Amino acid sequence: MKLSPKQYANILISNDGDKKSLASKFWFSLQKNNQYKDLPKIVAELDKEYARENNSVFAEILSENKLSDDEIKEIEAKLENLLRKKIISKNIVKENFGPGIIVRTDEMEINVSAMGKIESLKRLLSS
Amino acid sequence: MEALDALGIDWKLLLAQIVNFLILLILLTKFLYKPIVKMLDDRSKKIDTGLKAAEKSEQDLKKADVDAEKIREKAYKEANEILVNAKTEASDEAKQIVSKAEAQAEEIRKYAAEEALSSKDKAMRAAKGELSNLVTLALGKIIGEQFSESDKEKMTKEAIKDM
Repeated sequence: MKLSPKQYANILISNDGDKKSLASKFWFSLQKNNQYKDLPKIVAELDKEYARENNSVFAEILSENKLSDDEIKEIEAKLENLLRKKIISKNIVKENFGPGIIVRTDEMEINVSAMGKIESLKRLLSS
Repeated sequence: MEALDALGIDWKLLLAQIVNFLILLILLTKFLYKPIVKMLDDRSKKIDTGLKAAEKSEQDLKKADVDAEKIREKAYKEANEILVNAKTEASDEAKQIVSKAEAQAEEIRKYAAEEALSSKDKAMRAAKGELSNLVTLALGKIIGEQFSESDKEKMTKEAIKDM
């Protein structure tokens, strides 16, 4: 049976049994259903599920260069202050992203990137 | 008698002539006067009847003339009414056609105005889109090519602070 990335993530998170056996079944299922291409999505869902299990909010931080630990802590602190929940973040580096960052959670997106500002300007000019 | 004799009148002859006259009178009366009078009466009656018939015919003719005149007037009135109705109907129809044509013209005018406005809007939107694309492209190029890595890092730090 073909499972969705979210279903895989739920199984992987909630299973407390033999990790080796679980991993084996997981890879077998991916191979059987030709779902290797879904691996990034499964990992993303896994991050979200892990954060949820720990009563936290998962946040993706997109930037052109890897952010420093201090910068990530600063961002997390601001998000915690905003959402009143513990934050588990992941810095995703994107080539040619430009200056600034985008912070994404399931519920919101904070775009303080130069490209975001340009997009806003584009929308303003088009309206 | 003697007087008659003195006058030279033979009374016997006179009597005979009187008798003859009376006989003649009776005969004339019976065989000539009465038939003639009857004939005249009949003729007179016929003439009266003919006159009356002629008078009646004349009256009938006058009546027929009057009736004909009435019929003619009625026909004229009816024809006139038909003409007036036809004119009114034609006029109403003409009004309807004019009104319909005016409504159609108004619709066409509105449509043309809307089309013109829509075209103008489309042109404006296209121009705005083009302009915004150019601006975006230009700014994107500036950010990508003109800013150094340190500039970008600095700007990223600023962005984190502004969050």
